[in-house]
Amino acid sequence: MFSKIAFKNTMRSIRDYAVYFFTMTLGVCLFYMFNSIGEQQAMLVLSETQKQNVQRLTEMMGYVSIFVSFILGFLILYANRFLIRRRKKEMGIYLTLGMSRFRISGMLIGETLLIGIFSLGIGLLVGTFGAQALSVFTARLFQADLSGFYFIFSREACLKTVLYFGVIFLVIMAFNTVSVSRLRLIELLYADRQNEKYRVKNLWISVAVFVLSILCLGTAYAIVLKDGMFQESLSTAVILGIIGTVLFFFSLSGFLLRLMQAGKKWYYKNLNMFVLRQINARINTAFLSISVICLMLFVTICTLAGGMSISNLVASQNEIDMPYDISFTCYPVEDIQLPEDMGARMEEKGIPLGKYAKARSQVTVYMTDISHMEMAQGILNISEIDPLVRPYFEEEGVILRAVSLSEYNSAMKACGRSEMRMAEDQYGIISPAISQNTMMQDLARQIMEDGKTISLGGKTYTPAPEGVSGNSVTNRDYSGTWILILPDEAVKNLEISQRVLNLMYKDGVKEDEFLNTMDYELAQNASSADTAPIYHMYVSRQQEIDNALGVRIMVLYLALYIGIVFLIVSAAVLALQQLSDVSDSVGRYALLRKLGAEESMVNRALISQTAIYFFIPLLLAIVHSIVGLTVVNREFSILYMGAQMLEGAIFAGTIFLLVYGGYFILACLGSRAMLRRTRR
Amino acid sequence: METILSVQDLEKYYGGKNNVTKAVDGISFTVAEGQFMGIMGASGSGKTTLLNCISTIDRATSGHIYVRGTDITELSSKRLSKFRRSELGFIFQDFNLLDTLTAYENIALALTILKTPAREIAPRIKLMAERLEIQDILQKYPSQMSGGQKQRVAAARAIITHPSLILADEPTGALDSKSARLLLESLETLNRDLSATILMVTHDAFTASYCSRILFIKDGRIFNELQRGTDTRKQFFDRIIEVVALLGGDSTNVF
Repeated sequence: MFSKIAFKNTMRSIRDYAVYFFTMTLGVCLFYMFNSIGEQQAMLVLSETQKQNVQRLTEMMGYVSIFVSFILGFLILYANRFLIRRRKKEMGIYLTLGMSRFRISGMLIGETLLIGIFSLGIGLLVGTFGAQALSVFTARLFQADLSGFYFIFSREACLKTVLYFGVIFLVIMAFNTVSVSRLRLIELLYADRQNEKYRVKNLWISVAVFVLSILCLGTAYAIVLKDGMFQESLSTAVILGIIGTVLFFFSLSGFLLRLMQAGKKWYYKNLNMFVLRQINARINTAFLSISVICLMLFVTICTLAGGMSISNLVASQNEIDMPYDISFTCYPVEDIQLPEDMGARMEEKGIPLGKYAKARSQVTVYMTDISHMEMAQGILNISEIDPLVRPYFEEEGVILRAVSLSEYNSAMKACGRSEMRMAEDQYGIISPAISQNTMMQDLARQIMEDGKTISLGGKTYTPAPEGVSGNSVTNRDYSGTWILILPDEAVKNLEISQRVLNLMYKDGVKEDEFLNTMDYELAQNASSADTAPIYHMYVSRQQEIDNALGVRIMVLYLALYIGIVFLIVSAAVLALQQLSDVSDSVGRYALLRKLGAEESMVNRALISQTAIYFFIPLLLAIVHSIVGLTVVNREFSILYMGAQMLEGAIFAGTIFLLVYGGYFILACLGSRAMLRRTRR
Repeated sequence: METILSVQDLEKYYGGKNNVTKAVDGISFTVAEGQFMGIMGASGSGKTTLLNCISTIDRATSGHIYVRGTDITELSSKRLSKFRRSELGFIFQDFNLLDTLTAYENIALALTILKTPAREIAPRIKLMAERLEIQDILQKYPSQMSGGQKQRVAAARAIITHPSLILADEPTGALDSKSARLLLESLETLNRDLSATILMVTHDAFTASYCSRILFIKDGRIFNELQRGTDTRKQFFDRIIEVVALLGGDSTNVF
């Protein structure tokens, strides 16, 4: 009997529940998608390194999910409170009819259970498909191969979702039971008569405060744009920004009202006056929550855009020159002798290089006493240079390193790139592009064209024609500092910085196999008498790519996960507030109809009110984000708009539109249904 | 005088096949231009249902209602809104002013719904405010006004559109006697000076005594009709009380 009443009531108030249901379903769907990532990757072809990365990602998502479940839990609680408030009268009637509180809370529990089961079911279903789509998206974005497309249902993620949301439902049931036991009959029956007192505010104060808020925001923007992110003034800017945002929403409606009242023609047209007053009345009480929502949207946009960009930055570091399959490096440590021939030393230790490598080259990198500043003297204006590389050129800056021409050419020959020719008294510069950034390379070219001469060991060297090379002598030279190519004679007396052995694998060699053999042999042939090192570190091209991919997936998924959750929270709170506002002002709309306002006129007023309510916080958040991202971009130069970035932006934008637009439509439909129901 | 409102054989039934409630059961009457007509009856007599049918808030079961010759029982819902905003003015018991708007804006709202050009609004409101003596409160919000002031603002809103017919549903119901008297005098003035046609529903004999003609309704039918003629208000009031006593309803003597 009671389950029947509960079921009927739920069906009847299905429109009220729409926002609640949508939020729960989205939450479940998201939760499942991001928790099933580990198992979803079974579709992709992964190397050992990649598998480790996926493992790390799964762990990370687990931690973030705890945080997310708390946020979603509070949101669902908030939505639930809104529903209970709307049904106070109904519950009052049950109580007067003599139904016990116990049974009423039982009924509510039944309803919560029903909605919970439905949203869990649908959420999981949508989530399963979503997870498939996410995998395909991942594969596309990171150019990983799909080993074959098959359907994956993650039991573990499913159980976890059911568990987490089950706990949330239990909390809500407990909350409902408590709130039912606290109900007072008189309040329940007259619940719909308690309307908010409308507080009158002087409009001129609003205008003054609005101007103040614009000043605050303007100052905050100016500070951030001028000083950047790493100055102490940042905190001032953040505080000013928050104050400015709050004041902005506090005064906006009053200011708009003042403005529109000046333009009588527009103000006294259709229901414009009513809409503006309606918004003004609400923002007076809701400006704080709207400010919080605006700031949250700002964080969301920055998280999504920033996540895309950072993940792209990581990806573009892959484009740092890595000409060799693997390079081993030794550094001189105190007075231990570096091996003269690293390859021979490895073979001596039992590592069969010949079996795996088709070509090898050894390069010794020396240190000179020439600084970057000295090189660029007279050509470069230090204040104009990109902040990324400015430290190279400062006082006490970084010195140049050097390699000999013959070793350079042997390295080029090994990796199949073009060798360099130059006379005995000439020099060249190695300057690979970093992340497609050719700033240092261009500068080097400029210096050489200018005919800059250098002197080393009493000899003078002039620039070689075509003397700038973009080819590294070792894998992954991050720094972007210059390395000189000098005639063999010239480097003889220079101090050694490092020695590098570069290998190119034979076709079909599996790297994991080579590294395992190496580890095994080194462990077998270790002896405590050895002092000279074999190598200090190696950089493998494949591992670098895999790691970068892992970091990229991690950053991207984190940004998506947290960003979407924040988005859901902001949009859901806005929708709920809009609905509760409409339910409070149903009488006002009914009056408009009695006065003869057409249905379409009233609907238009309702939709424009909802639209203003949804899009004004978004608008300010977008302005904040533009300023914020401009600064971030300038500090890190990360917003590099490649084709992949565009794809990511479209993806994020679509999600944003779906979630935010979905809630907007729900709010419109819900409030219209509310008005229609109270028509008679 | 032109006939503004003509109600013919109006019936409004509630309920299903077996338990029909006849809220309005075959009522016919006409109201001429410039009349101040009252409808009296006890609770449940059907007077509010009748008013709702005339105001097009409710639909009649059968019968016809003509306002200036148009049969409003046959209008589509879109035409009905248009009819409501251009031909009718409402005064409600609980004022029904929008608390978010000032008095001025509340009155203006009726005009903006009618799509009146903005430049005409100010002079018309000024004129009406003078007539109802509410110039001083135009910039106030409903929460800052007394009940009587609110009701006069509502009256101003009802009449500013120059409707054919003003419908007042217990307009003094929520007012103290002094405010009630002030409001009724205002209505009387509007009726006399602007020859506004007013149809007022009330169960209060004192309020009814301001009318020029009164219909008494009992159980959905017309029970009696009174014309004020040349009576003083006191005389008219006494006659009303007699009928009310017959009706078995309200019998308060306020004099």
